[in-house]
Amino acid sequence: MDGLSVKIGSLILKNPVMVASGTFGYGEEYAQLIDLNELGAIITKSITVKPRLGNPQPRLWETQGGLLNSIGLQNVGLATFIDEKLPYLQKYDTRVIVSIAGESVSEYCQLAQALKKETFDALEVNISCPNVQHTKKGLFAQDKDLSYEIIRKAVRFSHKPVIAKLTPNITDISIIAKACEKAGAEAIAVVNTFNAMAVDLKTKKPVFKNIVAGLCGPAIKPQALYKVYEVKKAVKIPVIGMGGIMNLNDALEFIITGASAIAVGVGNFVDPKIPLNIINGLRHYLKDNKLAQVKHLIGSMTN
Amino acid sequence: MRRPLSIHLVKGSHLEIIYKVVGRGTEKLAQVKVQEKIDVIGPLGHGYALTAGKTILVGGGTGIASLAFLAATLKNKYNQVPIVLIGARNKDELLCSEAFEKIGCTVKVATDDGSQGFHGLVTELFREMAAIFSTHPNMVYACGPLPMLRELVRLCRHFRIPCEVSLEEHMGCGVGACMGCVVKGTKGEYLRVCKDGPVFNANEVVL
Ligand SMILES: Cc1cc2nc3c(=O)[nH]c(=O)nc-3n(C[C@H](O)[C@H](O)[C@H](O)COP(=O)(O)OP(=O)(O)OC[C@H]3O[C@@H](n4cnc5c(N)ncnc54)[C@H](O)[C@@H]3O)c2cc1C
Ligand SMILES: Cc1cc2nc3c(=O)[nH]c(=O)nc-3n(C[C@H](O)[C@H](O)[C@H](O)COP(=O)(O)O)c2cc1C
Ligand code: FES
Repeated sequence: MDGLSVKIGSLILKNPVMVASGTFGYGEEYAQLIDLNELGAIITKSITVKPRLGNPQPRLWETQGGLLNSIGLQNVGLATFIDEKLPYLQKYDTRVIVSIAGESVSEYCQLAQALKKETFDALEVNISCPNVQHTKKGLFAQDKDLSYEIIRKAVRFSHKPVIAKLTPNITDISIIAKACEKAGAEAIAVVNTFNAMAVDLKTKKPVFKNIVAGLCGPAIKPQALYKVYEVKKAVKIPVIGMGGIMNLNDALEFIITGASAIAVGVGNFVDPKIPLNIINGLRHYLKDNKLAQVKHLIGSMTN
Repeated sequence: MRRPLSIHLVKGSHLEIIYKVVGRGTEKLAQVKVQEKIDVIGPLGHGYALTAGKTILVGGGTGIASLAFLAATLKNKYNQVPIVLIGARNKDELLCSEAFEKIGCTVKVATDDGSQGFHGLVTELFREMAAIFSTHPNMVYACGPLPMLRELVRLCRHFRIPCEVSLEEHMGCGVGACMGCVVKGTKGEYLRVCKDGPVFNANEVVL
């Protein structure tokens, strides 16, 4: 053993490095570029009950140290995912985490139930996508009662470890994190993208048709880190940290703050080798600092 | 983030690219020194479907660059060179005509200001030629700005000539994972320029 193994609830990962939902497709897209077997886990693109077309162009806009996206959850839908995408991922020696997104509580139930008999390791419940309509008031993950209800049902129907993925677009994220913990989530993924926008100076129009888009990348890292800190303080279950992680030092910051595992998102676009570089980096870090286990680093921040 | 660029020509173990500095990414690339190493992923996506017999290449702006490799490949494979139509705003912005001539292609030029060749748009030049073709080409391959491609596709439909277009979109992953680079397909679905394209049959996409 190389000391990299971590536990996320009942799930054991060979290392704490994952790839974030929506930035890694269904895995196959990256298989020619990196060895998927090396990854701690792959989180798939969020799946919806029916295939989704997604939003009109433009969908991406690069900003200073960040990327705005308004994909609108384009995905192949539940049936094709089960028939074509999941079998491919099952061939690899890595943990497969399936991300689901519904437009209503009952769609989350439908998704969890349909996936119950399939072989994969955990369910990430995305209640925080900013690019599709959730409720009239906002995102599911901005409402503690709805968050509780969705996570509770996902746990009951899926019989898999459930990870709740939260939005940073909220005054007090700890309230939602606690609701998800109470509902039976085994871990909390922190965070999805920040609400943001851009204006096209040539046309004086907002760049995105929906006006709002999701900001990710190094630009959000310090804010994402603080959300991890807040959630870690509020719950006992493990936290999966993400937001602008591009290298070993970024990953260490999240782990030391309290993340039991981390995910690389837009970093995969910049360089698909970033997750593997972080894994190797962690190995060397343990050796150089005479540490036996990466898990001893989790939440080791002192103040 | 990375920037998508086409292969202009392959010479032995060298790849040539031609690009225009338009923003931060291309500016940075222009500052790279000789012998400096850069990280490249590719080739990605799929290219033109090669067709024997008479073919026409239509290029505008930096889109012209990618057609040279196609011309060379067609010549190598079928021993037949395409007719090349290239357009630019003026003669100073005209790209690659020597590269095509070196391959042995007949090159016809259109400039918006008439400073070289046909005075007008490359699509107008194409329309005039298409009206008097003795034999229709088996394929028109095109790469250039969207208005050019739109008009060309319209003309090809009118003259019943098959047509392939190479499209551009801003990209995230480049490998088909993020769904950032899509164009509308004729069946209503969104297709990925990086993976399903960048070259599409004109019948597959709504421009
Ligand atoms: C398959 C393919 C092949 C290509 N081949 C070539 C080639 O051979 N040679 C060549 O010169 N170019 C080529 N291009 C175009 C090239 O990729 C772009 O010019 C380049 O990415 C610009 O990068 P930049 O950082 O310099 O400019 P940027 O800073 O990205 O911006 C350039 C312009 O685009 C606008 N813009 C930025 N983001 C978006 C967005 N998301 N949507 C719409 N507009 C936006 C900006 O406002 C600005 O006006 C190709 C593109 C594709 C898709
Ligand atoms: C193009 C794109 C698509 C995304 N799609 C999803 C998605 O389908 N589901 C989800 O939970 N998060 C999605 N995300 C959010 C990421 O998983 C991640 O939470 C966020 O980007 C922050 O991490 P990063 O800064 O490392 O990218 C997407 C992000 C990007 C850039
Ligand atoms: S750039 Fe990501 S799908 Fe094309």
